[in-house]
Amino acid sequence: MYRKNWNLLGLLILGMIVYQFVFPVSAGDSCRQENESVGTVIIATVEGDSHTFGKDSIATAFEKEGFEVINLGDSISAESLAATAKEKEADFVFSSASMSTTMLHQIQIEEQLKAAGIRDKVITGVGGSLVTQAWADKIGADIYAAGPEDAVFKAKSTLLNGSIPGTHISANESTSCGNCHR
Amino acid sequence: MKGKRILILTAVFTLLILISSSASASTLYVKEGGDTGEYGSLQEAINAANEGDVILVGEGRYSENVLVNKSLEIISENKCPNKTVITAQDPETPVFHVTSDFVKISGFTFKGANSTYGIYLEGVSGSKISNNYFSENWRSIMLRDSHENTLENNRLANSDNGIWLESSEQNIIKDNRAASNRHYGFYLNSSQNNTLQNNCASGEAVGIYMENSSGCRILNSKTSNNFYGIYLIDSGESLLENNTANSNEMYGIYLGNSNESVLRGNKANSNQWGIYLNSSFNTLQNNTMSCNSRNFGAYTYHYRGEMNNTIDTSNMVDGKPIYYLVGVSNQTLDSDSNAGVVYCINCENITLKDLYLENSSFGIYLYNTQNSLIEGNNISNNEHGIYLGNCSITTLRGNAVNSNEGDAFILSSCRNCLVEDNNASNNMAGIWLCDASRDNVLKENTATSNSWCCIDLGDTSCNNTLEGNILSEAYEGIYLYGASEENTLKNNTITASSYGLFTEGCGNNTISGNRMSGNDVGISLNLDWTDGTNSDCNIIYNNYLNNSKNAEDYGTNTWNISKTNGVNIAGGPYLGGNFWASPGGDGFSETALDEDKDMISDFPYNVTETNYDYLPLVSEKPLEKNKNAGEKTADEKTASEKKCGKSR
Repeated sequence: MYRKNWNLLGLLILGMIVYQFVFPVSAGDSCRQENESVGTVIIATVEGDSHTFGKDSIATAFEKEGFEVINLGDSISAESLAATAKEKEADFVFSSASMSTTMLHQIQIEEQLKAAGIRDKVITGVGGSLVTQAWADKIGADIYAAGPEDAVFKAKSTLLNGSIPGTHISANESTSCGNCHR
Repeated sequence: MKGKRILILTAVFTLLILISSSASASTLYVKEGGDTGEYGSLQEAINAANEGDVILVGEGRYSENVLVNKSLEIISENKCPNKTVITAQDPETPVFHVTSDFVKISGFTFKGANSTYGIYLEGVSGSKISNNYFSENWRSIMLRDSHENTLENNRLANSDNGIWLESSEQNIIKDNRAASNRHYGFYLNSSQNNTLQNNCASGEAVGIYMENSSGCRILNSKTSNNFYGIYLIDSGESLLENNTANSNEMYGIYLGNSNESVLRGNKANSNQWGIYLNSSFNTLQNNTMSCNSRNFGAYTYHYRGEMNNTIDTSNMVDGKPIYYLVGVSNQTLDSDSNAGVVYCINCENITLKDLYLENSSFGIYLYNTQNSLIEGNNISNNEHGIYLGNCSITTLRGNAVNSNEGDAFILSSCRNCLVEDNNASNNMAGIWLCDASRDNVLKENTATSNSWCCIDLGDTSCNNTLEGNILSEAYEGIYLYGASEENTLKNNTITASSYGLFTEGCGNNTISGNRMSGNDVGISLNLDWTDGTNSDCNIIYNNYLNNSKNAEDYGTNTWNISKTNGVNIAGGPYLGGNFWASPGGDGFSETALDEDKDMISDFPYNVTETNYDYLPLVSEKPLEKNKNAGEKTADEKTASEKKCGKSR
């Protein structure tokens, strides 16, 4: 009788292990209740820039993955972004800049987060048609988002592992406008 | 006796002066660990000091946050700064916070204030910070509300920022070197009339940055290997003289809304952009730009501000002079001019011919210029080829505008211009009419292998004629968007593109006599998804269509005119609808029944479920076809005709 029960228990444990292999779930799924946010993402297009395609694509991707997304819109100042991040206790601050003259505002976002005393409490991400990994590295952004999938992949990786992996991009993915029209 | 008395008095007086002077400028010694007659910390010495005293600091490592609230000279005993290192005890408090005027600090390394400043001058004047090293700080030297100070010969490295000024005026910042800071080498915000001289900034995101800081002078400074070299925004009346900005990833020198500035004798080489102006009333003399991807640029294609700069031909791009003409009439520039780039602002009757223009933001830029001719020029490897803004009665003829990153031709708010017999290949777009350009004629141009489109009309660009153009190998041969209406597209040949013609929210255009073959889709009439405007009431007739898919129509349009005498595109005797061919040779027009031999099908062609070509053209020998197939009654010929007022 006991022997049978132990066998059943063993099978149950084995089944759980097999289930984990066959149906892997994200860390977010395994530790959250239904409707519980994986993390809070503040996202905006930087001041002086009205390009929203890439930013909105990333926002949608985060929402689909269970993040709470606060999409501030376009032409948002660094001060406003930092203030909102502080108020909402954001986990991530993503910014998009698609012009050579607006990318500089991504520096100011880093500066303003530091001025607000929360730079080490948030993970920053940058994207945009001219933004590169080198730019992200230079200004000290934590994540370079080559596209929506890449942004989510890296954000989840930082939550899981505390480190940011290399760029993960699918064939058709980009935050730049691609073939959409003027 | 009297003389002896005077001598004694003089000696006593001198002694008194010496004693008094030494009393007002005592020297206090600081040594690591402290000792008899010495202080163990800088703060102890400062607390004990009087105004004007000297604090001499022995070499060693100190961990402090020091408040300097007296006029003192604080110097290191060993003149080599890396021998006397002061690290922030609390990284959220400045290493030195100076709140008193006339403080001199020299010979130290300041580090570890990674959440704040190395030295912070707050409301201070007449101070001098010299010969120091800074690293691992948020901002190495920070000035707020501080005026007429000198920052000289400091080395600022491996911090977030080098020197940062806010609301600080008339400071002299010279002989400093900023390297490998994360954000800015030198940053000025709301700080007027400062002088930056002989500084060097490399390896930063931005070498020298000024915002809302007018009347500043940047002299003999070097910015290299940054993303941005020297960047001014809202900082007019500045002087940039004899600076070098090389090998920066983006701009060498950029002026945004910084009017009435003077750039003289600067060198900007091997950047993405050499010198770029988005400002007016500037003066440029003797500047040289070489080996930049874009040597010189001024204004984006939607710029509408003043462009009244004084830029003479002493300014050179790759060894060729810049011609920046303002208010000039009746002038010709040809190959003898050796022009490297040409701007014509508010000009009249200008001829530009036989020029080779490359590696700038625009090869030719005309604004508010009339009655001019641009002919036979070769323009390549620019950001954009030829730009016309708010121009009229100007002819662009026989130009080869190829391999530019953006568009070959841009006509913005132009009227009555003729673009004829040009070649535009391997650009992003061939010819772009935008911002309500009207009444222009684009005729017999050849545009191939442009990544977006060969010709696009947008932003209510209406009543233009596109005729006899040969367009191929693009995403769209012709693209109409943004309520561009009442244009005539006729006799164009469009091949090997994703779309021959693509419209978004554009109606009332006439499309006839065009040959579209080998495209994925011939004609595609679409909704403008941004505002819901449809492409309605276009008239499409007498076109030859032989594509994978000949037509898509998401609006309500007319695909034929009334049967009219005249040779059609298939050689038949009547004009009516279009010729619907197929790459396999079995298209509707190739197989349709024509019992009356008028070379118009006896049955309509279903363009979509609701749009019909009621008079489809047929070829000379149609194949037999089931008579009832596709036949429609007169009552069914409704929607598009009624809406657009057209009928068979």
